[in-house]
Amino acid sequence: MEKAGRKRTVSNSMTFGNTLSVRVDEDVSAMSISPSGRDVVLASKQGLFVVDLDDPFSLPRWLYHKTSWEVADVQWSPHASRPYWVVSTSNQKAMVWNLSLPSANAVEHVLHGHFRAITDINFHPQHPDVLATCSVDTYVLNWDLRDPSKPSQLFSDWISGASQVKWNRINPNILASSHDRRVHLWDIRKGSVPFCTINAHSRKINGINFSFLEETQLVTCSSDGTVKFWDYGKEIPQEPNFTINTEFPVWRARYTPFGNGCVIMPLRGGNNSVFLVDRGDKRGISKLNPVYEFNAHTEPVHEFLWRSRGGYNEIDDREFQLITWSKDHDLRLWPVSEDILQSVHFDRSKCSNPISSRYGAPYISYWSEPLHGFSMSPQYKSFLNNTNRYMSVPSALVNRQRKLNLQERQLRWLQGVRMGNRAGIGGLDMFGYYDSEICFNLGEELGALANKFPKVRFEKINVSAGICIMSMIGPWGENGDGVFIRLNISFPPMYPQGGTLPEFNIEESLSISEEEQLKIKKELIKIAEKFISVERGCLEACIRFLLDQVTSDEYNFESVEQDNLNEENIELFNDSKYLENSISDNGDEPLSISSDEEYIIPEFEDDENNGRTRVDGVAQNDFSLSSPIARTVLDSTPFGLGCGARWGPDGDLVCFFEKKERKEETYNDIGIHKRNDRFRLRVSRPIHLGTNTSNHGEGSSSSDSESGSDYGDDASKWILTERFKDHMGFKQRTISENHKSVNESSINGGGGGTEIQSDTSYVGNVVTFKDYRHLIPSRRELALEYKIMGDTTENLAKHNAKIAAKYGYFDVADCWRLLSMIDSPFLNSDGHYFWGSHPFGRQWMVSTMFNYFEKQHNVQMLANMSCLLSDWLRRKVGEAEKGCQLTPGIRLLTPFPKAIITSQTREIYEKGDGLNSYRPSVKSHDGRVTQPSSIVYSDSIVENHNVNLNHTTSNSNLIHANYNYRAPPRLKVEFLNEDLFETQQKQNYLPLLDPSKENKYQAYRSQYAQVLFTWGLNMESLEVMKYNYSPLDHELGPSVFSEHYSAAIGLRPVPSRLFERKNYILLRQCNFCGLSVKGRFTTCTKCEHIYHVGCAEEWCTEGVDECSSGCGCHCLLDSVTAS
Amino acid sequence: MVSINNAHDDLIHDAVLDYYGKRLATCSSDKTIKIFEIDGESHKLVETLRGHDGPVWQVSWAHPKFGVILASASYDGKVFIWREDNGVWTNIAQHSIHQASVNSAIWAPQEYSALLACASSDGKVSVLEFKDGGKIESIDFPAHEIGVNSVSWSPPSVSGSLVQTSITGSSKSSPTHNNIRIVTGGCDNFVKIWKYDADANNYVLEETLDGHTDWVRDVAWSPSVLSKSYIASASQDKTVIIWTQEGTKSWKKKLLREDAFPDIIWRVSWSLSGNVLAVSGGDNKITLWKENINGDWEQSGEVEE
Repeated sequence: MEKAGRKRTVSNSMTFGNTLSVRVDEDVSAMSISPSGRDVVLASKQGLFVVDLDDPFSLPRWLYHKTSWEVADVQWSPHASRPYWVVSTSNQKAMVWNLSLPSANAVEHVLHGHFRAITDINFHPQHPDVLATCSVDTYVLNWDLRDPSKPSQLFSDWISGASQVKWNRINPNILASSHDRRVHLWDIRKGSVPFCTINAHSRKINGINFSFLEETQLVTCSSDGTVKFWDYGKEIPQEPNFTINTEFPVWRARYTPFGNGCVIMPLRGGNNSVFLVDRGDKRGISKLNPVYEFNAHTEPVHEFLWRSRGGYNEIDDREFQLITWSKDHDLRLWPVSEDILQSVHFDRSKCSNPISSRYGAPYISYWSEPLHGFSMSPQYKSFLNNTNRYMSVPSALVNRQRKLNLQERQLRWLQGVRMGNRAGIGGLDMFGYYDSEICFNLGEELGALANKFPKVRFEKINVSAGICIMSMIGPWGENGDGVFIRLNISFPPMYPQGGTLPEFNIEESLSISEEEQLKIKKELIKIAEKFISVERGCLEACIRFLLDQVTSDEYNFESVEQDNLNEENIELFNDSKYLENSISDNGDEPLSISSDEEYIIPEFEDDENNGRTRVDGVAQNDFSLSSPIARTVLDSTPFGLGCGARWGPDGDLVCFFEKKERKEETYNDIGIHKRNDRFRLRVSRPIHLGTNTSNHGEGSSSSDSESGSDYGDDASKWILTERFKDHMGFKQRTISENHKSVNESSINGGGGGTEIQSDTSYVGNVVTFKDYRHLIPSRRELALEYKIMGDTTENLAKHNAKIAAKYGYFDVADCWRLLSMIDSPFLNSDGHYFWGSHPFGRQWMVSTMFNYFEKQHNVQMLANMSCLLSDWLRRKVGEAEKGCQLTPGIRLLTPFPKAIITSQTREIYEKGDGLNSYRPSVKSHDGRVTQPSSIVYSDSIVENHNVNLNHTTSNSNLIHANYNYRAPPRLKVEFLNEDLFETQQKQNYLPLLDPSKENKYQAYRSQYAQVLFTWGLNMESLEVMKYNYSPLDHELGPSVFSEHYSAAIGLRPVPSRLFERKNYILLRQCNFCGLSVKGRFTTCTKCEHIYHVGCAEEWCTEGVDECSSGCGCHCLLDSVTAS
Repeated sequence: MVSINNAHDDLIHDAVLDYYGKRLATCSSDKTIKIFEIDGESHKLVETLRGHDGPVWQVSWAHPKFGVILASASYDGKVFIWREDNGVWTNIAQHSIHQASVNSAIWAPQEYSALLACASSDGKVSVLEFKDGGKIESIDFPAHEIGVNSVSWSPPSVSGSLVQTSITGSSKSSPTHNNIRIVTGGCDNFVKIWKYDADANNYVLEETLDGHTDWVRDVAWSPSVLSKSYIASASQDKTVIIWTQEGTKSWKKKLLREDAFPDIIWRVSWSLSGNVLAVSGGDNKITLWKENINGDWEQSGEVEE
C-alpha cells in the first residue's frame, strides 16, 4: 500500500545516494533489510520496527512482541519471491513474521528446535523456503518453512555453542558454522560429520562469511583481533591465505557484494568506524589498511547492510548504499561513491556475481499495515487467536496504546531524522537538536517546533502526505479570551521550496466568529508568503501568530535574522497567559488517525516527569533533557561498589558491606535494583522459581551477565549496551526504564509469580574490622624480640631460633638454628671452615631457605635473614669488637663505618694499626698444603709483619671480602703456598648472601622496615634499614635522602618562620662560611639552617653530624638538598 | 572487633585505614567522607568532610611523612586533597582536569615522593606531583578508551637504585624515578602497565595485558617486593586474574579461581606484606586468597555481612 498516493520507485528514492541519519530510541540489537532494499527492520525487546527508508519521517511500523530476551538476530528473507518474511530470534525460538499480515497477528510460524538461545539465522541463498539457525546449545538446525514443525536437518559440534551459521553462496549444499575457535563446514548430503574443520582463531569467532565470487573461499573474524581469509578448495586449510591484524576485536567481517573487498566492523574500539578493505589477491599477514573508513557514529557500530539498486543487464549497473546501526542509536545511510566501489575492483563490465535472489523484488514497503488489518471479522480474529498461540498483543493493550500520545512520538521521531549534510558529524548540540533554525524540509521543521511549543498539540502529522493538524488555545475569543483553535495545514510537495503556499484550514468553531477566522487565515497566508519567498519554513511564525498575535510585520529578513528573533520571542511567550493553560485541561482529546496510520506506538504513558515537561511552559532545557533523542556523551562510570575490603597495615581487614533486607529473597525475578540501575542491573534468582518465571529470569539476566557463559561474547556485548543505556544518566532513561517495568508487570501480571522489586533492597551499611593477622607470616611479637645486631650472627640466630620456637613457629626456628650452625666459621675437630661454597652454605641451603620463605611471602624472615647473613654485620662486629665499642646485646646505633676495604685478590680487611689486625692464616696442621676445598685456619699466633697490609679504597672493584671474625685476642696470618690457593681462597670466602642479589636483599629489608614502622617499632625499623646503607652511601647520604624529603615540603604546612623577614635573611647565609647562599644549598628540615652544598660536604667530612650553628640539631641526618 | 553501623546515609564505596591503623576514612554515595579514630575496640567519628558534588568513590591516605593528608576521588570529576592540622581538616587542593567521574585516586609509595594517580571515566589517567612550596604539577595521558576504572602503583623496587645512585653520585636523577610504574584497568577490558619516562616526563605504555572479557573494575599491584611482581585484576566478567612477572620476563596470567565467581568482582586488595588477597564482589562477600607453596591460590577466609 502506498502512502499519499505518490508512487515511489527505487530510482526516485530520495534517500538513495543521500546521507541520512535516523535516531531510534529503542534498544535495537539487530537489523535486516528487505529484498527490495526499501525497508529495514530493527529488532528490539519491544518487537520489530519496520522503517521505510524512502519515508524516514514516518514513525516505523511496530510489530509488538515484548520479550525479556535480547534479539540476537533478525533476518529479512532475501528472496524476491518471499519479500514478506522476517525471522527474528526469541531466546531458543525463532519467530517467522509475515509482514503482509496485520501486525497483531503477524507471526506466521514459530521455529522451536533449539534448547538454548539462538545466536544466528541465515536464509538459504537459493531456496527461499530454507533457512539455518544456530544456537549456544551447539546445534545447527536446518528448517524448511514448508514444514516448520520440526527442523529438517541437524548438525552439532557437541562441544561449543555456535556463534554463526552461513550458507555457501554458490554451492547450495554447503554451510559453515563457527564454534568457539573452530569453523565447521558441513555438507547437507553428508550427515553428521563436518567435512572440514578449520582451527581458525585463538579466540572466539564472531563472524563467518562466504565469498560471492569463489565457492570455496570464506572469511572469519574473531575477538583475537584478526580477520582471516580461507580457501578450503584443495585441502583442509591449516593456515589462512591472508590475515589482517586489527587492533580491536572484530565483530563482523563480510565480503562486499561488489568487487573483491571486505568490510570489517569492530566489536569495540576502532574509532567506532566501519572499515572497507581491499581483499585483492593478497597473501600473508597484513595490518588493517582500509581503503575507506565510514566514520560518524559515536559508539560502536552494531550491524551494517548493503542497500543496492540496479541489476545485471549488459553491464553491472548496481549502485550501493551502506546502512549502519550503532549503539549510539543512530541508523545511518551512507552513500557509496563510484570511487569507493572502484577501490575494491568493482568492474561494471563483468557480470561475475551470481544473480541475486533479491533481484526483481517489488519496490514496496511493508511499513504500512495491511488494509484488512482492523477490519477483520471477529470470527476470523478469534480463529487466529486460537490457532496462533503467539498472538502478540492482547487487544486491551492495543487499545491502551492507541490512546497514547501519538503526536508526541511522531514529533520525537521527526527530531531524530537528519538528511543530507546534516546527517553528518556534529550539528547537534548537546540537547539533541540543532542550533541553526534553518530547516530544509517539513519533517525537520516540525521536529524543531516540538521543543518550542509544548502547548501546541500536533494531532496528526504525515510528512510524506504533507498533512499536519494542530490545536492550541489562542487569544481569539471575545475580549481576547483564550479559545480553542484547530488548524489543518496541507503542505505542497516541495515545501518550503517551490513557491507554493501551504493551505490553511481553521476548523469551524462557535467560539471564534467567522469574521475572526477569515482574518486569521489571511494573516497566516501573509506570513507564509513572506517565509516561502525566502524558502523558509513558516510554521513557527504561524503558530506564534495564533498563540500571541505576532503578525508578519514582526519579521524582516533584511535586517533581523529569524534566529535572533526567536530568542527574544521566547521570552515574550513565557509571559503569555495562554501558555499557562495546558491544553489537556480542556479534556478534549481529539485524535484523528487515518486508517493507513493505524500503527501501534510503543507505550509512552504520562508520568510525573513527562507531564511536567508539558505543563511547564517553554522550558527548553528541561524539555530537551527528557527528550528521547538527547544525545549524550557516554558516561562510562561504573556503578560504585557496595561491598569491599581493604587491608590495614597490620593484618586488619577493613570490610564494608551494603546491608540488605533478607526479604529480598522472596522476590521472584526481574529485580532491577532501581537505586543501582546505573550499573548493576542485577537479578536475584532464588531457587524456587517456576518454569515460567525462570525463563524470564534467564532472559533478563542476559542483561545482567548471569548467563554470560550462555551467550559468550554476545552476552557481554549486550550487557554493555544495557549498561550504556542504563547509566546515560538522563532522565529519559529512567522514564523509559520505569515504563518497561510497568509494561513488564502488566504483561507478566497475568502469569503470576512475578513481582517487581523496587527500591527496597538497600537498608544501610556497615564497616567492620576483621583480624586476619594469622594469614600474614610477618609477626609483630617476633619482631619485638628478634635481635639482628649487637652480636655474632651465630648468637643472634640462636637467639632468634629460641624466640621463634617460643611462639610456635617451628619451621622458622629450625631455619634459624641451621643458620646459626653454618654461620659459625669454625669446625671443632679439624680446624676452621667457611661454609660459603659448601652445599650447606650459600650454594644450596641458603638459597633454598630464601626460596621457601619467598614462596610463603614471609618478608619478615627474608629480611631478617638478609640482615643476619649480610657481611655488613660481620664487618660491624669485627670492627666493634676490635674497638671495644660495643658489648654484645647492646643495640648498635653507631654511625656507618667509614672505610671501605676491598679485596682484589688477597688484600685483607684491615683497620687501625697493624698490631691489632687479624689475618686469616692458611696453614695445615702439619705444615702441608691441605685440600683446596678446605682451608684450615690456625689458631696459633704467627708473628709475621712481612705480610703486606693494604688499606685499599678501590672503588672500581667492590668485592667485599667476607671474613668472619671471632674474637681471639690476637691473630696472625701466614700465607703458605698461596699461589695454589689463589682461586680457592676467594671461593671459600664466599659470603652467604650472593652479592649479585644484593638489590633483592635491600628490597626485603626496606619492605620489612616499612612493616616494622607501621607496627610502631621505629628502632627496629631503623636497624633493618642500616643494612641497606653501605659505607659509601654515607658519604653521599644527602642525595639519597633528598628525594624523600623534598616532596614533604610540598604538603606540609609551610613553616611560617620561613617567611618572616628577619629569619629569611638569616636563612640566606651559609652557616658554615657565613656567606650568602645562592643556587644550590643544603638545609636542615628541623632547624632550617642552610649551607652551601660544598660547605655541608666539608663540614660533614670532618666527621661531625651536628649543625655547625651549634643549635644541637643533627642536621646531616635530616638535611635536604635543594636548589 | 570494631564495627561501625550506618556511618553514611548511602552506600559506602571505600574504607581505608591510615598508615598506623589509627584512623579510618570512609567515603560514600552521600557525597561525604568521614574520619574515624580507632582505638582498640572503640571508634569515634572525628570529622565529616563535605565538598564533593557526587558520590565519593575512593579515598587514599598519603604517607605520614607528608603530613596527615587524604585524597578523595568523586563522581563529580574532582579529586580533593584534605589535610589535618591540629585537628582541623582543610581542603588544600582541588584537581579538576577530568571531564568525567574520577574512579580512583591512589598515592604512590612514599619512595616515589608525593605522587597521586587518578583514574577517570573520561579515559585518562592523571598523575599529580606535589612539589616544594605547594606547587602541584600534573601529567595526564589517555589510558583506556571508554574509561579508566582503577589505578595502582608498583612497589618501589630497590633494584639497583640506591646503590647505583650512590656510586654515580648524581643527585639530580632521583634514585627511584627510574623505575616508577603504574597499572591501570579500564572499560576496554585491558590491564595496562605504564612506565615513567623521565625524558618525556610522561608515562609510556609498557605492556597491555589481555585476559578479561568484560570491564576491568579494579587492579592492584602487590606491595610485596619479592622476586616476582604480582598484579591482581578484578573484572565484571566475574574473574580475578593474577598476573606475575619474574624479573623482566613477560607477564604470566593465572586465574585466581578456575571457575567464575558467583558475581561480578569489584575490588581486590593486597595485604601490606604476605601477599594475601582480599576479593569482594557483587555477592556482598569478601574472600581471602593466599598462594600456597606450590604456587596455587587457595581460599583462606571468607567474610560476610
